[in-house]
Formats: sequence, structure tokens, C-alpha cells
Amino acid sequence: MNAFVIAFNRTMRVGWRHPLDSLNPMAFFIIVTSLISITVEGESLTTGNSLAVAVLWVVLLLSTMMASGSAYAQDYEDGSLEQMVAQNQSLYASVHGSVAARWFLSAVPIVALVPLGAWMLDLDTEVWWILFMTLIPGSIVFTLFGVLGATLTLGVGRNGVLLALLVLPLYVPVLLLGVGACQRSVNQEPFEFALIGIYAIAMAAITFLPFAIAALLRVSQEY
Amino acid sequence: MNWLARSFHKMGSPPFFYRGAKVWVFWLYVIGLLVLLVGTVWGLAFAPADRLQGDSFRIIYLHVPTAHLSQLIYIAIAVAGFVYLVWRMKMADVFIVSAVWLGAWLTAFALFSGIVWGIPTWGTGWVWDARTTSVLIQLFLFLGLIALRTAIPNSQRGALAVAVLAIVGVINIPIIKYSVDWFTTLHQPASIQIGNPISIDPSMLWPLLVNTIGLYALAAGVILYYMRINVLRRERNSEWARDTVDIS
Repeated sequence: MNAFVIAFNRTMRVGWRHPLDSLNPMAFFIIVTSLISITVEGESLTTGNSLAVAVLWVVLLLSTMMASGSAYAQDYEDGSLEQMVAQNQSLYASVHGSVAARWFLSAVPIVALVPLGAWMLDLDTEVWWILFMTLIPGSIVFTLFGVLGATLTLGVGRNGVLLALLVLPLYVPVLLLGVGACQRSVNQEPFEFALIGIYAIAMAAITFLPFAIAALLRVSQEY
Repeated sequence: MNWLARSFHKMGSPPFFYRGAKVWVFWLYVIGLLVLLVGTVWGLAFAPADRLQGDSFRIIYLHVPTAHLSQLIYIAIAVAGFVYLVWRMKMADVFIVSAVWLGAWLTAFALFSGIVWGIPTWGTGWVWDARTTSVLIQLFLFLGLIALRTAIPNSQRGALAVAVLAIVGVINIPIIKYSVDWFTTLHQPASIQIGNPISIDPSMLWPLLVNTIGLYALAAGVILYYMRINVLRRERNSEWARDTVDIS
């Protein structure tokens, strides 16, 4: 538990002192959503709330990927990652801590902006609660896969496009389930299956992905 | 030590593999091409036409084996990745590097032949249903593996990263497999399922099985061929490699 708290506090403090790392993805989210609102005709958005839901999900996905894609990059360069790996504590717990902090720093602010985006896209307020119910586990999975992609490409310099290529395919099941649940809720159809599925994937990702991330962090110091 | 364990250890040794695989490559190519020729001619010319789909169903003889084999290659890559992570066996990484391109091409061909088949039967080349989507994602996963492997200059670290990515990506395979049953979509359920009576006539089934076996053999030959090249390239500074190539 100790390693979790240390990593959590440290990542939060570093994030707090680099506020632009959180603010830039938020600005990205707003700008892309408004670009879509400007370009897509108003009627086609209101006739199908499902389109607005899909737009919100995809834009949130891209913003979270950008935000978590730089995880551990600075630690890798200034050598604190080496200390993290070398210390005699559970790296698994430490990864959990820093991923949790990263979720608070980069995903939660964007999820908090979703009502604004929903307002821009003329989404019915009834959809909001199902949107939040699915976006919260969804953003956790997005953050975890984003951090995984970031550790895969540690030290590969200029890794933006590569990161997208590695991570976006892994996002697809969650994206489909999340958008499916919201759209079915819009159309008054049963959506429990998709909701259960997305929470199941989130639980599995929380349990297993930190193992993979910790293994990659260790490898990055070995070679 | 019994025979199996001994040959397993020998396979892990690059010079033994390089010399031993040469015969295998030749015979797998010959057998694979012959069997594939027999199955394709049988399927395209002699098998009866489908009652509903007419002659257009014959693309099954290429579509199903490639789609099936591309999934199998992805699973094999994930297994090899696991072997590399646990035992750090060099040959597992050589297998991944050699098989990943073939897997990407087979996936692309499966998608292409599916589009060609979809136009006359479904009335549309592409539908965003669960199965076509997940095969497309499988192609993206293959491309991601290739991109990651070439982006990391350090060979060992690149191999480990690719192994982890392959294992994480393998969650996609059950989604492909069961997506047809989860959602009722346009793609027909698999005709051949373990435990269920086969819903395809034997006269149509036999060429399909023959073609599948032929493609397996040919794919094994291609993978072994590239594995030999990659082993030699990787061991280019060792004595046995210099002796084999005989640089004068």
C-alpha cells in the first residue's frame, strides 16, 4: 500500500506543477467538439442523438490518449524511473498509484467537460447519466491502455503517431460497448449487457494491465 | 532426456535450426502448393454450386482458410511472446518477426475476399458489424506490432515490447470468435463448429478442408523460410554463420 501512496502523491504533485499537461487535452477536447458542432449541420445532430454520443466518445478517447501518452517519459529521462524500479517495493502497486493519479489529472477533467460538449452537440439531458456511467469506467480503461502505450514507446522519441497506432485498436471493444450502451439508452432499448461488459473490461484492465506496465518499466531499465 | 525435450532444446539453437529447417522449407512449399492446387481446382470446378448463392459461394475456399489462419497466426505470435517473456528464447522472437508480416497479409486478404464475397451475397461490400470490424482491428494490431518492432532500435527491448503488446492484443481474438453469437448481425454463424452437426454438405466441405491443410503447410514453409533468413542476419557475427555463408 505504501508504494501506491508514494507513487500517487508524487504523480499528483508533478502534475500539479505542470498544469498545462492537464489543460492542453481539455482545450483539445473543447476545440475538436466545437469544430464538429460547427461543421456538422445542426439538424443531423438533433435528429440522431446517437451521432452526438459517438462524437463525444471518440473525442474523449483521443484527448485521454494524448494526455496519458506522455506518462513516465520525464521520469525515464531524468532517472527517477530507475529509482522507482530499483526501490525495494512493489512496482505493481507503484504503477497502480501513478495510473490512478494520472486518471485524476488527465481523464477526470475531460469527463467533467462532457456536459459542456453535450450542450454544444445538443444532446438530451436524459442521456447524461448513462454517458457518465459508461465514461467513468471507459476513461479508466483508456488511461490504462494509454500508459501501456507510453511505456511501450519509452525512449522512442517523437512517438505520437506510433502511440496512436498501438493504442487505438485496443480501445475499440470499450468504445463499441460504451457507445452501444448510450445509443440503446437513447432508443429506449435494453442496454444492461453493454454496461456489464464495459465494467467487466474495466475490472480486468485494472487488475492485469499494471502487471504488463510494470514488466515494461523493468525492461526499459534493463536494456 | 526424452526425444521431445531434446528436439525442443535443439530447435532453440540457431545453427541447428538453420541447417535443419532447409529441408522442411522445401517440402512444405512443395506439399503446400500441390495441396492448395488440388483443393482450389476441386472447389472451383468440381464442387456443386450453392442452391442460394450460386457460384459466388466458391470464394469460401479462399476466404475461410485465410481468415482462420490469420487468427491462428495472431494467437501463435502471442504464445511465442509469452515464451519469450518467460524463457527469453531467441527463436521465439525470430518467429514473431518472421510471422507478423504473413499474418498482416493474410488478414488483409481475408478482408478483401470478404468484400468481394459480400457484394453479390449481402448486396454490400462492407458492413460495420462485429466480425468484420474485429478482423479489421486484427489487421491494425498486426500493423502496430510491425511498427513497434521497427521503431525500437534495441533488439532485446523491442522483442520484449512486441511480446507484451501481442499478449495484450490477444483479448481481441475471443471478441472476434464470439462476436457473431453476441450480436445478431449480417455475418453468418460459422458453418463448422465443434460439438454441433456440420451445416455444410460433404461435397462442399472436402475441398475446404484440403485447401485449409494446403494453406497451413504453405504458411509454415513461408514462416520457416523467413525465420532462416532472420536467424542468419541476427547471428551474422558468429562463427557458424560466417562458415555457412562463406564470405570470400
